[in-house]
Amino acid sequence: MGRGSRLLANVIASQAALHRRFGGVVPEVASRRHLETVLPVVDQALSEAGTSLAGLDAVAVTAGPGLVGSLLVGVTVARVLALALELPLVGVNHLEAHLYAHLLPSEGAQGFALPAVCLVVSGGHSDLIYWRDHGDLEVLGRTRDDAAGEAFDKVARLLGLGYPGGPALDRLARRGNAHAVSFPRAYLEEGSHDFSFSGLKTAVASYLRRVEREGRAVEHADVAASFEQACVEVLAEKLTRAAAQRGVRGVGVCGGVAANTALRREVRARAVARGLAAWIPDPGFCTDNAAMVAAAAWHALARGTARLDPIVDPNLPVDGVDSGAGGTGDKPRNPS
Amino acid sequence: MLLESRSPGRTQALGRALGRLLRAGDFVALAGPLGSGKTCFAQGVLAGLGVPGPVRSPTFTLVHQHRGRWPVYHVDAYRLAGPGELQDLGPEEFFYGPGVVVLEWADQVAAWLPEDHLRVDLELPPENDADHRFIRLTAHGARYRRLLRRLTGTLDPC
Repeated sequence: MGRGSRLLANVIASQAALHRRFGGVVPEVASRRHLETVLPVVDQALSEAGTSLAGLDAVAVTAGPGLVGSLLVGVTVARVLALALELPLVGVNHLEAHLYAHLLPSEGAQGFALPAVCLVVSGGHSDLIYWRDHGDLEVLGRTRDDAAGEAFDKVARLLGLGYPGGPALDRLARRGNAHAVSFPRAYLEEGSHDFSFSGLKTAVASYLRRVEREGRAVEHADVAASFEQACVEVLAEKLTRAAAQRGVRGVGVCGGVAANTALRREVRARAVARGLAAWIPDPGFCTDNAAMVAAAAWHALARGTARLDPIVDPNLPVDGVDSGAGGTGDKPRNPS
Repeated sequence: MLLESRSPGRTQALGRALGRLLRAGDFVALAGPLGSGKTCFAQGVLAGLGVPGPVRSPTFTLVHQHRGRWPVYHVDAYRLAGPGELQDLGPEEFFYGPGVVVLEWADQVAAWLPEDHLRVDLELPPENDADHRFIRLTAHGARYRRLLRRLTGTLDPC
C-alpha cells in the first residue's frame, strides 16, 4: 500500500502456487502452514510492488478476532520485521479491515464516503456496522446464531454442491425461481438490527426431507434461488433501513458473501428505493486479503489512532465494546 | 438416556439443564445431521454454564473461547477434513485443558475424542413435524454415567 489508496501489491497465499502443495480444506486453521507461507508471500508482495523491505514505512498485521494460532504467527512475524526494520507495527481488527475494502481502488466502491452503514457478511460474520468516521464504529446488529455465509455453505451441502458452497449455490440459483418455495424471513423483534439464519437453514433441510418423503421431485435450482432470496432480502432490508434511520448517504457491503449476485442486486435495488448509494467493492477485495489490512493501518497511522505494538486477541471487539464475538474469552496473550 | 423435544426452545432448555451440571474438564460431543439442533442444544449448554449470550455458531470460526463458570471452548469440526486439521488447531490446549469442551460435528474427528466423554446425538424422527427431535445422551466413562443420573433427577417433564 502506498500513500493511502494506491495499492502496490496484494498477494494471497491460498492463491499462490506454493500453497497448493499443501492442499487442505481450511487453510486458516493451519498455523504451521501459515509459518511456511508467510515469508514467501511477503517476498512476493515486495517484488510485485517493485520495492524491498527497506522501502517500507510501516508493518500492518491482523491482531484479532480469529484463531489464536494463526494470529500468533502473523503478529510474531510482523513484530520481528518491524523490530528489525525499526518501523511502527500496527495492529488491525479483522472486521474493521473488511470495511476498508471500500477505500481500495475498485469500481464497485467508487465515491464511497463516511459516514455509512456497512454490512460485513461472510462465513463467520453477519455484522451491521455504523461507520461514522475512521476509528469510530458502532456495531448495530449481528447474527444471533449462524452467519449468512454459513447458511449458504450448509444449504449448498444439502443440495449436494461441493465446498466451498457459496459460489456453487450462487450459480445454481441463477437458473431457479426465487419464488418457488416460501422460506421464512427472520426479521426478529421490531426495530432489531440483529440477524438469525439458523431457522432458515433448518427450514430448507425440513423442506428437502418432506419433499423426498412425499416422493416428489426437487428442483434444486428453485430451492437454491428461494433460499437465497429469503436470505438476501433480510440482509438488504436491514442494511438499507439502518442507513435510512441514521441518515447516511449510502450503504456498503463487504466480506466473502458480498460476491453473491443476488445480494448485490438486492442491496442495490433497496438502496435505490430509499435514495441511498450502494458501495460494493469488487469481489477480490471482499474476501480476506492483505490490502484491506494495509489500508486500515494507513488511515490509522495518518490520523494518529494506530494501535501500535498489538497483542493477539482472539475475541478483539471492533467497536471497543465486547459484545461477545466468540464470547468474552481468555484475555490477550503475547507472542513470546 | 433418550429425551424428546418438540421445539427449539425445549432443546435449549434441555441443554441448559445439562450445562448447569458440567464442570471443568468435561467434554460434550454433539452429533446429528444438518439442522438437527446441535448449535441450539449447545446454546443451552453454554447458558447453563453461565456464558452470556448470544452464542454464535463456530462453524466458520472453528473455536470460540467463552468464559462462564469455567473457560468454555465451543468447537465445530464441520469444516475439518479430518484429525490432521484438528491437530493444526492445537487441540491439546483446550481438549485437555482446564475448561469445558462442547464439540459440534464430533464424528468428523471421532478418532480424536477423549475416551471419557458425554455423547449427544440429535435425531430427526422419520415422519414428523419439522421441530420434533430425539436427543440421545450416551455416557462414556464413570463421570458421565453419574452425570446422567443427576440429570435425570433435574429434568422437568415437557
